[in-house]
Amino acid sequence: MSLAESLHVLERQILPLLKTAKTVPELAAESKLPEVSVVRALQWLEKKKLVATETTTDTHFDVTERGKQGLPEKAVLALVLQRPQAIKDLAQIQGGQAAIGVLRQQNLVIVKDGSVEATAEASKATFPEESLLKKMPCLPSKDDKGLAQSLQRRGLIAETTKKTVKAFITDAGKNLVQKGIASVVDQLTPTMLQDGSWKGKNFRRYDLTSIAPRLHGGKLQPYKKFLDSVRKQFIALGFEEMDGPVVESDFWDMDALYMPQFHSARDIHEGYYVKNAPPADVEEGVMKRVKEAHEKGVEGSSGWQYDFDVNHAKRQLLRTQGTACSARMLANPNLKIPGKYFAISRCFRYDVIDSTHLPDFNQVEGIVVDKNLTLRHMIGLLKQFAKIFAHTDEVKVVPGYFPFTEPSVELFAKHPELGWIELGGAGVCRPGVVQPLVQKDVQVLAWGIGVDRLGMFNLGIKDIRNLFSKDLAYLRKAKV
Amino acid sequence: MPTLTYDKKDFFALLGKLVSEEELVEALSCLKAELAEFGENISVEFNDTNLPWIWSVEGLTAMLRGLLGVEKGLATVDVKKPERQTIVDKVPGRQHVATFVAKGKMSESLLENLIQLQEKFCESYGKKRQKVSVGLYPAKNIAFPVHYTAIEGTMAFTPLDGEHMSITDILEKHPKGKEYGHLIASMKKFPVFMDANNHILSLPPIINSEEMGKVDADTKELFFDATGTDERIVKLTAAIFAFALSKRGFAIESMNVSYPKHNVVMPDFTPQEMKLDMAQVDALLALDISEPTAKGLLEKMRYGTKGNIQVPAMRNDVMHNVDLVEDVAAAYGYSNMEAIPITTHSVGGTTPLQNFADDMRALVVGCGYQEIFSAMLTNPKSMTKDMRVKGKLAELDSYYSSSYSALRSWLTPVLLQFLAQNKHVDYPQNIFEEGPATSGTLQDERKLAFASAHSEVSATEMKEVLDFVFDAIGATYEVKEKDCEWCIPGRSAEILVNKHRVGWFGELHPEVLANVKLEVPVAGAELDLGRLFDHLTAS
Repeated sequence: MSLAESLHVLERQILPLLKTAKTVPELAAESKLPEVSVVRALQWLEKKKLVATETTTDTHFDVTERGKQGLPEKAVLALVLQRPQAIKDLAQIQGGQAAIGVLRQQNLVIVKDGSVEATAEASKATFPEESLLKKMPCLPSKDDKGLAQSLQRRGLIAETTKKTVKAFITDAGKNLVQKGIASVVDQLTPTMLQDGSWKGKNFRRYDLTSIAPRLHGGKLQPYKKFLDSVRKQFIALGFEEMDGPVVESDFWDMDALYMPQFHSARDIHEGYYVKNAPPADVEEGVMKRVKEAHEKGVEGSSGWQYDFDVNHAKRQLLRTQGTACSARMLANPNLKIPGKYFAISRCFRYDVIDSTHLPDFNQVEGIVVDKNLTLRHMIGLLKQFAKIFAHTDEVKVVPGYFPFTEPSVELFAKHPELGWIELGGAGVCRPGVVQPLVQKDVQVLAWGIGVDRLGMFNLGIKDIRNLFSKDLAYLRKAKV
Repeated sequence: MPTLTYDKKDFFALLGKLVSEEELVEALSCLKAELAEFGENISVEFNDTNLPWIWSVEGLTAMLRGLLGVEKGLATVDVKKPERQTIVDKVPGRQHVATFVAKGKMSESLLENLIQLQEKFCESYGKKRQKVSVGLYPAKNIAFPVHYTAIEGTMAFTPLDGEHMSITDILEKHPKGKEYGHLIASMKKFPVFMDANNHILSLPPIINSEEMGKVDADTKELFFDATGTDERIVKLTAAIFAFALSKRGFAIESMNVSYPKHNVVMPDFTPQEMKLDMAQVDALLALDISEPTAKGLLEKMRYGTKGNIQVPAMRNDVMHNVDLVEDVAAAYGYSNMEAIPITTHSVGGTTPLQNFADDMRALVVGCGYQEIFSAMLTNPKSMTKDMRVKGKLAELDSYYSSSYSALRSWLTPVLLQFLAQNKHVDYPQNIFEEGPATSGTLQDERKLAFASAHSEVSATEMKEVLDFVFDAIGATYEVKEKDCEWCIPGRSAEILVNKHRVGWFGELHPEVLANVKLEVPVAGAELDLGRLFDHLTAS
């Protein structure tokens, strides 16, 4: 690139001023730019070898604050000349002690019984140090060197060093100025476009490798975006999305799923029940059919053989499993047969909260409703899920236990780094679930996937809390 | 899900076959169990809470012997005819009883085993002794018949690890009384086992008597009881314990349990008879196997197959033919089943509201806002008091932490909490969240809230975003000035669509900001997406 085109506007202002070597304050005054801008321009120009700088160091002495009080020996002598003074009184004067020493050396005073008296010479005393002090600031001459050292020792004068930076233009710089740098344009303006004055202009070249200020643009939350992609995958597979409430009745959360009311997972302390909740509104027909299935079974089976409590079923709690959405769908008169459904739902776990357990969690679950579905179809679907969501063909299915499916299956997938991980559970819905809810002769496959864990794998997140990150800096940097 | 630990040597002695860890894992998976430890001891985690028979090492190895080909067919116990009797009086609240006697050789390790089983069984399956509890006694001191009866709380005996005291005192003072007393505390009279000489054996489900109910390694004859509130579970419990003892060489002598109006013999190993519906085996598994093959597989799962199917008395989880189908599948091996692709055709899709919410999210992102995703559980203070408002919330009956004791009823407080946690991060901070919120009505409402925090923020910025978003969805809204409690007076307004309120926007009140310890001004807005969508589609 042409050097002239790359010059910054500041550089272009400073360079022509350097006909002679100049200091920063001089250049600042002349260009009317602040000194910082001059310094920056000089740094850039120096990097481009258009300008060189020379630093001169000036050493000299100057009077210190103490020195400004005058010579202590002169003050001391003046006092002593009036009348003899006690040493301890004179010592009160700053530098007094040293002054007595100096005066004694020059035979101007004598010390007797703790008292200082003037000698005969005293009245004729001269102080060459005083004239040196008056010359300050200066670099003392050879003759004054001894005096200066003594004054410096006594803290009356001090050495100071002043650096002066002078910039001068190099031959390359001169060449450039001669060729002309003024025609380089910084900003393309609407006027230039309107009047065509941009033509023939050179635009200043930028250093685009330099660091730009950070922009914090808007974007989707990474885990929510992952859930969006899960939704798209299910839609692509022909699944229709279901919905259900966060505050759910025991009925849809558990009873409709054939979990007996005495089941240990149904203890009051196993769920977040809502305080002072009114009994849930559940359609009587389906309640009756579920009650009968629990008490007496269906298709000649034995059922759970206990007294089903309708009031118990109407208690309201935070949904413990997304399968509640499937239960509602199965009982919905608009259920499509054949049909495939899924839900992405917020569920709640009554558990201690720590780095691996959150009270909120997300579940993806769903159903396939059709005639002639078998466990082997369920296994087929699970393998498809493993391929899509865990990117693996290596899966293992083993018998599982869920109250609402029989046979039940658990799916493990082999993660390239983490080994076998549990992906989810599934099964063929029990007649005790299907008959009271659907009231038709169909087969229902049900499945659920622990999507939070899947999200962690896919997003490379180790701490589950980062799925719901409260750290804005993290979210701003997070990949989507 | 219970995890039990067994002595490895004892486990393999009972199993009667040496198998590798891999083989054991595979066989356990057929029983829905996982090997948690395979060292000096063997630990197994059971996922199926309805099959407690296999929690006992004797039951577990009996099932594994079937799967590993050591033994097959109906698992059962030959019991001696009853000679002794338990007479049951009316015991309201804990009416069901099973008792038997077992003769054999006790040992320290066996006793330890039995106690582990008793504890896990009564805690987990027995719902902390409420459904069922179990007692063991040396039989030699007992004068039969034994009575199960209800007595006054003033009656006294010496409980294990305690002084001679009244039943009422046991419930109040004895450690076991404190732990389990609530199960019977409300009864007028209390259940006890008492022998023919009126010696109290125990106070079920709390504690045995020190004199009559202390089993040790020298005990040669055991008296067993199970009491509870569910007849089937009590019966099942007796069968499971009798099965375990019989595998340890004990001879099981059944007993007559005489209720006021009927008589039963316990333990009862009469198997439940079921008919295997082969049509359903085919329909559910599509394995193309014959009936003899299916029956052979069930024999491996320890069913009897003489004529129909006999279910071991130690199981009560086999209710329906589908349960048999699953056991056929388990014995066949899930890994041996080939997957069939699903061909059920259906058109995929999501809800119109979901599509709308996604569009809205994209538009707010377009205004430079970062999306956040927060927990729905929060606390009442953040939702109301901190925001200078009152309101009915969906609060929880019980919770682990008061920070998570209610559902969020709106999203703005959630955004403020987020901003308060990020005071060290570069400003301006523009954030938003979309998702459900649930108020005291317990109905979900889909909401979208956004907020901007920086030193020169104003309500106008919110209006800019709203204008952009509403233009993009082709809708108009009306601004109705309204002082929202959480905003600076004169700097907030309601958003109306078709004259209906669908949200608000404004500058947050300094007191609200101080409540959440924010030191930078914030402007915010919140839309009720569901309501907005309804009004848009209606017009």
